[in-house]
Amino acid sequence: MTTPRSSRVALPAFAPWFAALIDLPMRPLRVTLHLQPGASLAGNDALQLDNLLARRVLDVAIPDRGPLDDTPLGYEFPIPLRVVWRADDGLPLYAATPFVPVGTTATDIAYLHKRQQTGAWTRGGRAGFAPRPASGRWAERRQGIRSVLAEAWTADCIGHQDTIAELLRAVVHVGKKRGHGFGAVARWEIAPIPAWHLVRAGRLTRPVPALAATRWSLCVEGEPALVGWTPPQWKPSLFRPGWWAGARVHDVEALAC
Amino acid sequence: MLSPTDLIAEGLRLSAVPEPPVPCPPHTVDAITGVPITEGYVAHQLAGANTVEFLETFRGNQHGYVSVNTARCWRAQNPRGDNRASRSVLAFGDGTAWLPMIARDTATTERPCWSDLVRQVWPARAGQPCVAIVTTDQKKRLWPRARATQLGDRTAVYLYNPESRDDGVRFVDWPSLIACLDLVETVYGAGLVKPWIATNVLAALAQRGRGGDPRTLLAWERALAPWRVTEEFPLALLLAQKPTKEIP
Repeated sequence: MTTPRSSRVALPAFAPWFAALIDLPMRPLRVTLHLQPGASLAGNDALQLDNLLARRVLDVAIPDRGPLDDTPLGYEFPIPLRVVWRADDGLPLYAATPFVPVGTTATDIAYLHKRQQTGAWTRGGRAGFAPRPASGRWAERRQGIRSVLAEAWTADCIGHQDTIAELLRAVVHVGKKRGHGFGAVARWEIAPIPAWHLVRAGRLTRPVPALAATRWSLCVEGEPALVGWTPPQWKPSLFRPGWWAGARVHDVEALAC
Repeated sequence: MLSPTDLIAEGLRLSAVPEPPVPCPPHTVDAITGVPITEGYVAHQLAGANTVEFLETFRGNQHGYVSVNTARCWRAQNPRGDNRASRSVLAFGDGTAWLPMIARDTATTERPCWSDLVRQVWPARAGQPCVAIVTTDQKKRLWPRARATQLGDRTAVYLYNPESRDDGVRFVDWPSLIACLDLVETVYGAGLVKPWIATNVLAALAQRGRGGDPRTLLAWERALAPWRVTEEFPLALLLAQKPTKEIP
């Protein structure tokens, strides 16, 4: 028997939310994100629907909160999405895909310039803080960030339509560098679809841990690598051996829920 | 499980960090790669006074730990010293690694041309774990974002080329990359420039003396058009070289 690497953190404020989730009818949905004209999505990683909803649940359930405790453990979020698998430590795999661009797309590198701090109140004195523009941590520098312009972005899931719509209604920016105009949301569309697919056209539609793939008898090509698969996907302590979205799956026409 | 930093550090024989690693608390993972570790280095102690963007580099966990091999990569990104981790690299799980060059003219035996290397490793190394970074500029922020995959139909290649607005991981089908490279190099070797290949080779018709046979151009354009929307095309366009000229 293997020892779980970590367990979950359950916040008391989420208890009524979890209770409310039990009776919610869930069905396959397609969430379509329309950005403002000309706005692109910035960042190196894909935008994850379950991550977005987890953040919104946190904001709504615990308003005026400070930062969560810095811990290698995973937080359990009451997300209105169906859990299709749980790891041995209880971390959930949601029936949700990352957002993918639809229609004509264009990639770009946006350059932002970090300017020198003035140091107006600390400059001077032998021990004072005197930031230099050409060297050191506070040097002026150019930051490149990947951005993608698309007609729309879609993510498929199994969830409760009204709750998801209510949570996403307040999301007006997504992705990185929102203060610079990236990821400005125009509107969300949520519509039912016939089925949610974990595998489409012989490819995984979302990151999947190797243990889940074994559970479903999925024959995924290639050796597993450490992947982010449960919110928050960027957190290395929650990475597990698995495959990224797009990995080829053999001998499976479609796994629909 | 091999991580990108394991492949890069072992493949390039990067120098060990002089300070000994320290024991980590239970269940610690590398703050960059996520690999479970029992000993390593405290991230914020490894980062010097000149480290910027440490929140993003260490994924918000600058008070965490990094593995011995990640620390080796970190120390090998100094622009005034050993900066091999900041360059283009192709490293395999068996400890083989190259720091390839894009231009064939400047390539050496130790630092081969990407165009030749792409063909050299396939199919001999099919299925082997590898990490690939292709960059036109030395950047220390690239290796923490690279991914380790197998050489095959979905190989992760980190492509950084500001000229073509590329900065990110592309999953490429290696045989398709070679096929695309063959086609692009055929057209490129005939005297057409890369901006035309990237957009429309029929633009050559407007250039006196460089156009060639219109039927050939049309055939090339028809062959190139489906490639332009693929993940492999920007990479093949960057790596394409003209055939070596025979010296009489």
